[in-house]
Amino acid sequence: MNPLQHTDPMLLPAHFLHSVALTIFFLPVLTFVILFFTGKHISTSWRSWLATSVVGLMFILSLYVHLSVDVPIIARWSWFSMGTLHMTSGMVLSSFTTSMLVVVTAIALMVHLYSMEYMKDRRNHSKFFPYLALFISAMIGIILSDSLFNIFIFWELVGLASYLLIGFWYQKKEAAAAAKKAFLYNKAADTAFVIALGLIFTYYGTTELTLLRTLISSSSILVPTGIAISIAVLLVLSTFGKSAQFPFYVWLPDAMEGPTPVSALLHAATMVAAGILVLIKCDFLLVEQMRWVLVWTGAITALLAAIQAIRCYDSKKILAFSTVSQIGYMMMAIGTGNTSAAYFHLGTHAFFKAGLFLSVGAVIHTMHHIQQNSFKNKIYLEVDTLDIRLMGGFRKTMPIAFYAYVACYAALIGIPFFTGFLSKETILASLLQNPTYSIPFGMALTTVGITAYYMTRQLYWMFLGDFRLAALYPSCKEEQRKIKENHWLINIPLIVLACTTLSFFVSFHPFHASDIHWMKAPLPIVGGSTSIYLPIASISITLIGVLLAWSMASKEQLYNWKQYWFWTFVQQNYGIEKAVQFVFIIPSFLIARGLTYLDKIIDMWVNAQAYLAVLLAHIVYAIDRFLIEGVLKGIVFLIRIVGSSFRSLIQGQVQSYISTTLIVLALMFWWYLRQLH
Amino acid sequence: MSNILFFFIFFSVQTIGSAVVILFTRNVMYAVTALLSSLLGVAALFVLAGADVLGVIQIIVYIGGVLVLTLFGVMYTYQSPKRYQESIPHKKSVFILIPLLFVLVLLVQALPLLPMIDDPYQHASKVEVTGMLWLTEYLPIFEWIGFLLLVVLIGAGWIGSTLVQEDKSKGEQV
Amino acid sequence: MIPITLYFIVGAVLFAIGTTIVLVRRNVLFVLMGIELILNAASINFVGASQGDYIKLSGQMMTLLIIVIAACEAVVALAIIMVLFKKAGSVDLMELKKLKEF
Repeated sequence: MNPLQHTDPMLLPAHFLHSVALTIFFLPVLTFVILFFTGKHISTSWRSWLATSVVGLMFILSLYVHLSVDVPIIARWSWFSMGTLHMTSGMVLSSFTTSMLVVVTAIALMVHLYSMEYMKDRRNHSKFFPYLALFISAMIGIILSDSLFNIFIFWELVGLASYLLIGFWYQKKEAAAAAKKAFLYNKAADTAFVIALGLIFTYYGTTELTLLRTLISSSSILVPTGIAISIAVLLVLSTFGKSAQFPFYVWLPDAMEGPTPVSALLHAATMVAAGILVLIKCDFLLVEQMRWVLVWTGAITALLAAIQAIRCYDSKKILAFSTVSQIGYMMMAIGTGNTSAAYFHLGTHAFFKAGLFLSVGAVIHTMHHIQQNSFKNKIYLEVDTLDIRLMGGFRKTMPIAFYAYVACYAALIGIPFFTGFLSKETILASLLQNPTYSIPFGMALTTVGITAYYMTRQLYWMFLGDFRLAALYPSCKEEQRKIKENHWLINIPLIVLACTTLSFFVSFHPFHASDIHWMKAPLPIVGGSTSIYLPIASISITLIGVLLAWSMASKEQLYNWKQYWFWTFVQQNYGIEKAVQFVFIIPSFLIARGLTYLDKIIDMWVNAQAYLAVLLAHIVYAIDRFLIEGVLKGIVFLIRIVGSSFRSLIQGQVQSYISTTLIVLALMFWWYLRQLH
Repeated sequence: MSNILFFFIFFSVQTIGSAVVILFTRNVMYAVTALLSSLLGVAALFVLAGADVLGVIQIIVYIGGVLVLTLFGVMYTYQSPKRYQESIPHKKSVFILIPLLFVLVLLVQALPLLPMIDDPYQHASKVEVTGMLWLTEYLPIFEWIGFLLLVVLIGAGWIGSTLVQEDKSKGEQV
Repeated sequence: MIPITLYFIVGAVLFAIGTTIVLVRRNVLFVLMGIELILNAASINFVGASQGDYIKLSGQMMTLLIIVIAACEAVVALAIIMVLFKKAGSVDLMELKKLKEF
């Protein structure tokens, strides 16, 4: 089948709300430009307040837009023209996009407020807020755009911003490596996006999502099945990169090298959410076969990441693994066709994961202060401030952080009356509806238990018990007494985010999410009504996990525990990097080396020719030099000898002249006398 | 070997030997003396060839005139004992080859051409005949010779006089 | 009668020696003597060749001419030597290179 001609989408006038949305989009761009170019010329507090107030304004505007939007309204304007090709750029305002807008700006506001205090004295501060602004702006672009082309541009911008922020403390070798890793894994996945984009544009003639949806639903364009599957595969692959799914997820734990607020933003609202968002937007492009892949990949990712979190001691990495595993749930939801459930979980997850990161960050902040203070007292503690083995006892000293953590923790592990329970139940229910997905359902249920286990373990080691740093380093005892609540700028976001994890924030029905008022869109009928046993089962599994963790944690050997090969394997990301090394990098190097040898052989051949030419040239040179030039030189030499011999006769001496005359005379006589004979 | 041939060889050897002495000596006075000997030998050869008058003229003109003139030249150009003797000559080899070349030419190419005159020396003195020829048949030549001598004498005197004049003018200037 | 060839040989040898003197010696006076020898060599040839000539005696006449010319030559040459010595202060031919072009 021949590719279709480009179809010109109809241009649509912009509503007033579209201009407001564009304002929301361009405000952080403005912040970025101002802060990036003023740099260190304005003070830290000014910078922070400017960025934060802009985000606050964005949040208010987003709320306004969200409340104003009733039915989806689309604006489409001409982007550029090339000959007969007219590219358009569209913006869609529906309850789906605007609610996501609200979520992103809300999380961003919290992160900004938090960062004002958290990042105050950190290195390279002048670049932090501009990068954040870039990040948010690109994310808003993804949310609002209706054109896949535009989405791709913002998609790449998100990648760039994440690269800049993960490698924010690029002086640290690990941070630079993590940024590079994230960037490269993302780029590998983004290649798939580019190809998908090309295929879509070639076969459907447009990249406007609204238009594509109508084209496909009306079956007015018949695209070969292979092409359709390819598009789906490529799109899914690209989102696997951005949303950190198996096997691309290995970059995400490393990305914890970035500042904690960045992690919160990255995990909750922007980076990893982008993939899910695009998949939800392109849901109509996914063919049946891909849905199956999505479910299985989600299940595997959720389980594997959760297992990895069990033996992890890095407080932020545990959360990173939990993010990966939660996004696995979202993938499963998309796979079952229940995109609303995925979106619901994305929204709730954004809040409680941001809350978890920020509360853990508060503890890390304190740890960091202890390290810094002891450094001021000329004691250098060579410790990892993220290590949960060194924490403990913060429940009493930092109650706000503790209770915020507990709220978000409860949401994550799925305790009733918290948002996480609702969204997770929805996903599990949609899995349960399809009997072919029984194994993924089992994996998902197992993951629920494991999640409860590792989160409880983290809670135990971080907030309960004694302060182990002081036990290890007695010099910190003085500092331990000084531990107190953080600045209100850190605490306010914690309190707000903890409140949003309560279930009535999303639904007044504690066990059923049919009425999500702020999303303004009723979910399909899933959840409690399908089976009463499902919530009971999941709650009981959660409780088992919690209790198991509680009993195990106190007995856990923090140091020198026996290293089973299984755990080593787990800690090495299940050998994904090694597989990448073996499957891609080493073959590439082998091919490169082979080509090098080939090149060397060609080189040798060329060199041989060159040597031959040089040799010939030498021979010719020798001929030229000794034969031709020699003859010439001989002639010249002869002439010179003759000339100089004659010249020697003509030196102004009488006798020379006489002798010359006589010689000539003798010769003449000789000749004359011979004539006579 | 006849007596006359003996004498011929004797005087030939005297002539050539004296010439060789001139060639190799570094003393000018020796050279002049050797020249005297050589010219005397030539005069004797003339006599042996039947040219008695020429032999006499040879002795008168050469030894009486030319040799005295040469001696005068030697004395005139005398500067110092050091310069009296000539230093080592230059490039002997090349210059000796040239006369040898001439000898070669003569011996190889000219001698075979000669008609062999084998008439023995039978006649008496040719003095009378010579005198007769000079004043009869060769008189114009004789006159021309005299004229030539006159010209030469005047010319030589003129050359010498310019020297004297230059000396005078130099003296006046000083 | 002495064979004419002997005269020629003596003349040739004398000529060769005279030429050699002219070419090799540096003193002008020697050169002058060499010229005298050459002329004598010529005379010997003429005289030797005219042995059998009893009527004309042309060889002897030629020799007379040669002797006269030799005398003239000696006179003129001596005058030249005098001038030369006066001007250049030397009778060494090696030092007299005025005939050179440059």
